[in-house]
Amino acid sequence: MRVAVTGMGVVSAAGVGVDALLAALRRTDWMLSPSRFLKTTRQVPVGEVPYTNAELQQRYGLDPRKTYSRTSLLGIAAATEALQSANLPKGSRIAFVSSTTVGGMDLTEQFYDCFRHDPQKGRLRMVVHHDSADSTKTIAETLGLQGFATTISTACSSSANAMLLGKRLLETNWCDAVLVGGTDALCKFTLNGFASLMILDNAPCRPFDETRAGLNLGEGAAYLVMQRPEAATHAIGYLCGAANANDAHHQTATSAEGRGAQLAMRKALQAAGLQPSDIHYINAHGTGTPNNDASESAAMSAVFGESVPPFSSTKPITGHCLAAAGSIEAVITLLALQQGEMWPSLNFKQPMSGTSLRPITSLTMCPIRYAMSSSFGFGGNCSTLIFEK
Amino acid sequence: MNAYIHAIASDTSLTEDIKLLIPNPQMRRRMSVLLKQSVGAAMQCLHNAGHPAVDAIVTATAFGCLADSEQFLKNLLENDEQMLNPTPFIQSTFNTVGGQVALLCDNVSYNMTYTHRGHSFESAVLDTVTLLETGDASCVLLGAFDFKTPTLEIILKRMGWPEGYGEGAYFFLLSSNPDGALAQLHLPEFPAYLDKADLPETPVYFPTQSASSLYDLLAKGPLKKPVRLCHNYRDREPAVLLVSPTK
Repeated sequence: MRVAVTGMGVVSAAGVGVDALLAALRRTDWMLSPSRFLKTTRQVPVGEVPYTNAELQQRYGLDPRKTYSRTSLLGIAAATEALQSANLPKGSRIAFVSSTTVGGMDLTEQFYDCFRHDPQKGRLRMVVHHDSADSTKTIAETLGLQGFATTISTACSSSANAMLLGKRLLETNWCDAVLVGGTDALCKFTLNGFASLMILDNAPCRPFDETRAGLNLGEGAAYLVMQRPEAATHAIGYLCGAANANDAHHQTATSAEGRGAQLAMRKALQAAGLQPSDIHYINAHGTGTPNNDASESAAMSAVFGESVPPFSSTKPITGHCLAAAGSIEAVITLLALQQGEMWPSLNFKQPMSGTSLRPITSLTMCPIRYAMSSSFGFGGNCSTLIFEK
Repeated sequence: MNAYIHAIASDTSLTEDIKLLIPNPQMRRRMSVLLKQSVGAAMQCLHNAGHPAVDAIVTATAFGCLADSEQFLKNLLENDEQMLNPTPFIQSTFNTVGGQVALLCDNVSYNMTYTHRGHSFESAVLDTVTLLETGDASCVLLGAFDFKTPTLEIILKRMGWPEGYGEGAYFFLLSSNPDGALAQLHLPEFPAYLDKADLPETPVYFPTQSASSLYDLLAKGPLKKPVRLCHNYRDREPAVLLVSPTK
């Protein structure tokens, strides 16, 4: 069964809203720059949302005296737009499947800097937002969502998995509509985490390029409203296949042949009842790390053979938004279907050795019926989504 | 509904040597205590079930590998973001336990992790039961883990929480086959409120306590009559797990 996507909202380095992201996707001169708001000694390009917490709180009419994690604020922005664009009928049973990897870590970092000197110090209101559920509950409360809610955290495939569960909740009639997606704010914890793994590039990331040297971290949120097709009065597109598989190779690295990625792609095709040749465009995970891009290229070659469809990574525009990456790229993939445009992979110059695969490097007009989006995370977690116009 | 529980295990009920449960010495050495206890419980559950072909691994945790998160945070603040050891960062990820079990068993199937405070385990149950119901999986390893840390205890005390916060790792092997099962597991319920009479007599509240209650119930052997396991973490998250005898 396929489910209709009837609303979507996004906040990213491009700004607040789907229109801001669409405008950025059409630009070829987009460049990420060092953080303005996050206080860090690491002067590396990041995909930072161009608003302070105070500006976001004001924009969404939130009490300025209350403490919100940035993860919650980004989520509120994206979820508000998604629900407005879906315009669900009153009385709909709306389930909410959110995802995050950092939760309220931006606040915990401030708390812990005091706490580590004296365990009686550090404001408690800065640490109560630590857990993953906090942003989900804050978003639900702000938007008046009172139905079932849950939070998934499977690293960088988190929000793709939220979409997968949301689809199943509709298929099993657990709800009438489901708000799905993810949110993650930039914080020192993740920035330094990827730096410690030596997969953070000091220059703009170059997915699928021979000279790629790592990822640029981003922040953002994206939520989509999905309904059963017969209940939908309109549709931006359809989620027609979703699958998760595990690479079972290493806690952080992916296997050379992309075993988990291949399996996720094949299972998603099977779930959608499609052949590889039906796919017209792939929005790749394409982080720009040497390991991911080689492994993902091997997986695409294995699944699609000689005719790998046009593909690109949009992470040079958004940065890698971790839990939010899957849902942000779901929005980007749906925009490709809707607009009939394939987004260029910026900063690509030289194909990787050992493969002849080249991503699309210019904006390409082309009617697209089916498009694929993949997300891969720590713990070998691999997810693939297939969208239909 | 066709979700049947066949085997259970907890971190305090390991009958096998941890070196047999986690045979890879390098993996074992790198694991933090929490990770070893949780992965150990998962592997013990698979051992108890006779190592069936699992086609989904679903885990739940409210706080994840808290000690690892704290370690990495402490290092980065103390060292001013320089010269950091990546291991605690790697292990801080919420799906580390699920990922490590997949790695140990060379299991390439569906792997999911829920982290929704007092509804973490109930969310994992919802996923598990619907996976079995739709036929997307036929044999699922389901589990929950949360462990105290000194920092968590200090913070809870400062917040005025009662003493006696619980902890533990609990795993369950479910399949769509009822033969020889301990009990049948149903879709969880999320009522608006719970009657006080429904709640456990000795509240040792921790977010994934319902997994502990389910384990305790089934540790006595196959279920004789239907049971509703009601929990309401911090008086804010009512949820009911329903289990019944296998017909």
